[in-house]
Amino acid sequence: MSHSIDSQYWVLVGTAQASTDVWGIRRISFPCGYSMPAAAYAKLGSPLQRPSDGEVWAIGGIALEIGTGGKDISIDKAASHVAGYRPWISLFYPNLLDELQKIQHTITVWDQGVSMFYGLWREACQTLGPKVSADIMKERLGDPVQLSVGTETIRGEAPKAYEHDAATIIHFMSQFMTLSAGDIYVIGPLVAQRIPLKVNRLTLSSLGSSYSVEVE
Amino acid sequence: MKILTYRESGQEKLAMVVDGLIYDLESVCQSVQEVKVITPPHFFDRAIAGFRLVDLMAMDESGLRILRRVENYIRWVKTSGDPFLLRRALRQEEHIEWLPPIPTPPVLFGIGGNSPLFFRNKSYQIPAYPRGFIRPTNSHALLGHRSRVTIPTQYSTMRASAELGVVIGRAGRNIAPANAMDYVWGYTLVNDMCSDAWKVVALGDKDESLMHKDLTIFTQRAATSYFSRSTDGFAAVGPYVVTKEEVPDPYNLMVWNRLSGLPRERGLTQAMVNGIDRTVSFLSRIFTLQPGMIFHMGTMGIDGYTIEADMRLGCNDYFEIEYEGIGVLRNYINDLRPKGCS
Repeated sequence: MSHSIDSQYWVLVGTAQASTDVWGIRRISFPCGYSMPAAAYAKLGSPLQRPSDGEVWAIGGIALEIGTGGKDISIDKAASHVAGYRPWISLFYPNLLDELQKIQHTITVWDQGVSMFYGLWREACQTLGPKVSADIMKERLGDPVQLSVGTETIRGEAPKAYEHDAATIIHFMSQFMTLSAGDIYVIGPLVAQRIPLKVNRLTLSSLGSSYSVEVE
Repeated sequence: MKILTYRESGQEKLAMVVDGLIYDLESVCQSVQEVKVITPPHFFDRAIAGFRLVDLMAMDESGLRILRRVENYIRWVKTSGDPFLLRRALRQEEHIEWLPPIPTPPVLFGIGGNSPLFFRNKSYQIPAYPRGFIRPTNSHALLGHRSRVTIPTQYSTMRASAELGVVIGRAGRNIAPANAMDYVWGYTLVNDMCSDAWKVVALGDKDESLMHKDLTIFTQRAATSYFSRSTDGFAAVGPYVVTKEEVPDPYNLMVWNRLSGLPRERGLTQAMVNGIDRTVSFLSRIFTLQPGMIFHMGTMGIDGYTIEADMRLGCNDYFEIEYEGIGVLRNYINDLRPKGCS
């Protein structure tokens, strides 16, 4: 990937049904999400790290990559700032809430919310596949994504189900911060499935191709 | 030791503060060539030029040893040698372009609410773990000492918070609280700025208390709070990193938050709910600690100091935060809000 020193990573949530499936979050009317540490992304060709125990979710979706950076990008020019799209797979394990239950008197909504994005910060719990062009995204907008877990294949929503398109996201985020070439905005989960711990490979079929990642 | 990063002739450089004076490290090392003694000082087998602070941190004890030798040499030249040798090394605070001491930290994590005062008259419990956020760490997001922070047109209010930045010096994973301080290299200051103008985007006309009942509304409120912290230039870091041996008790430091020299908030780090060791340990179970990571420990007062909607600031106004024994971080203000905005 062509990330510069200024590149940053975000994951948006509440953008499709799968956010409700995993976290119980409804659709949100504006691009809403969290900044991620770069270490949350497994290096190209490296496996995702799974926990030793507890519940695990496999999640798939699409990430938007910025080509040309900028600030205060108007919505009509935003599409020209897109470098392309990448398949995104995450292994999310919500076991932090179990840990918090041992030290907190009561688990509150605040703790539930925090455990969601702390879970996404986990080292090597996310991966990005090869970049495809905006043209391919346009052609495949209506194709549902599919997540293969062992012998099981789960059908998710198509990218057109996303609450926000790339132009909206770029316009919105650039109103408060400068976007840089190589920035990644995961548009959100499109498919999510609770999986057994022993699974060692995940495949996401999206945008006309398949991307697989090992899990260890 | 106090180590800072600054930019000179387009290059990032390191400097050290000794007895209140700033010395460029590369020039200090070059000055050795002029020393007329039988055994000239020796710092390192390679030139120090081009080293970033994070490189020295990653060298662990040998990096600290180099810095101690440089500091000892400066003191020796000043007291027993010829101070003229350091004439090319001296820099003036107001004339250099200060950068954050670690210009692009691998992670800049901040705790939201870490003093009992923050929780006063609120109906939610004090967390037993560091509850916070990660913000972007690029050159747009971070400011150094004396840089200018811009209050954007659309932010009716903004808030500045004086926070202790804990700087990680060693890589490590799953660190026990008892060992966590071994991974701390030193301390810096973070002015954690944000704007409550985002509440309108997050909540619309809904009552804020709903965020404690509804996970979607919580997510909207939390994420936009972090959006506001991700605003360009809303994280000032510096002025330098102070090595941890200079701060023997980080829980006994007075804290000041000033606007243009006037105290607006005072605190004491004794108020810290989740301490440094617990925070470092907790985060090391989420990701591998890396040299240069900075964890800022939250406000020690109620919740920072707010620039209200009816206040307008001039170009000579400045935020200033101070932690006793660590330093003073000043940032001038560029208030773009239109007159009459509320």
